[in-house]
Amino acid sequence: MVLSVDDAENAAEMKDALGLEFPVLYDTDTSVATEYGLYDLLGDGVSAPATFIIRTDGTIESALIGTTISERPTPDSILDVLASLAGMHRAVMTDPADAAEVVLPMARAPEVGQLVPDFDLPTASGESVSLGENLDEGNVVLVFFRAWW
Amino acid sequence: MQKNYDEITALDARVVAVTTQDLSAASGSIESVGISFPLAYDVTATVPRQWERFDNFDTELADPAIYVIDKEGMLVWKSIGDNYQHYVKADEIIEQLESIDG
Repeated sequence: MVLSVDDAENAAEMKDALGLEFPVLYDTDTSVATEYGLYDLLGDGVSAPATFIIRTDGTIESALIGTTISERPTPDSILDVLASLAGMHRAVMTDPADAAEVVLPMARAPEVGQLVPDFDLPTASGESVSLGENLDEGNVVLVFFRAWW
Repeated sequence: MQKNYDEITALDARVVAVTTQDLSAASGSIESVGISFPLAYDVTATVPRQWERFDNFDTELADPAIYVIDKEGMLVWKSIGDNYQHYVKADEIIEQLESIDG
């Protein structure tokens, strides 16, 4: 479900141009964007880009709010959250042809012999560390690390 | 870990470390330890939670754990221990890496 604060005509044009199959709702008076604290958050007179993942009970699982007008979560990161809500793990995938096997119903933490879920995290210097990209290079030793062992 | 890092990379394996600790505190410590593998910050502990290795010992931190994952993305070995001071000898990790290709 997508909310746009653009006027209905612009939003409808974009929906057609992009061939979107999900509902695009018009929040032209910005009431919803304001209620979510997004309106003019970046000082540009429109809603900040934001993606909310809402559980079936109406509580928010994940709020991904852009700090710039172009910052959006990747589809992968959204799918990861949804998979974890469904009690599933998205397996590391290096070949898109494996997509049919990607979402595996697993009992939470991966066991020996199972595919592991991918992740993408920042380092202190802002670089990105992706488990999948490291696996593309070879075997991986994954360590949950405490600085004061 | 660092002193065995070269031995692990010599086996064509990568080390990925994840910490849930505060950025500034952890990076200070890392400088002092001088590790050269990527240390990823997961301040919301999403990854340790997914692996059921978060706050099992009331420390509100990721619980120490070491996993060996083969390049197909399959978990081949894990060492998770039952206390927050859990530690693995590097020899054991190297043995596991060698057994993947062996």
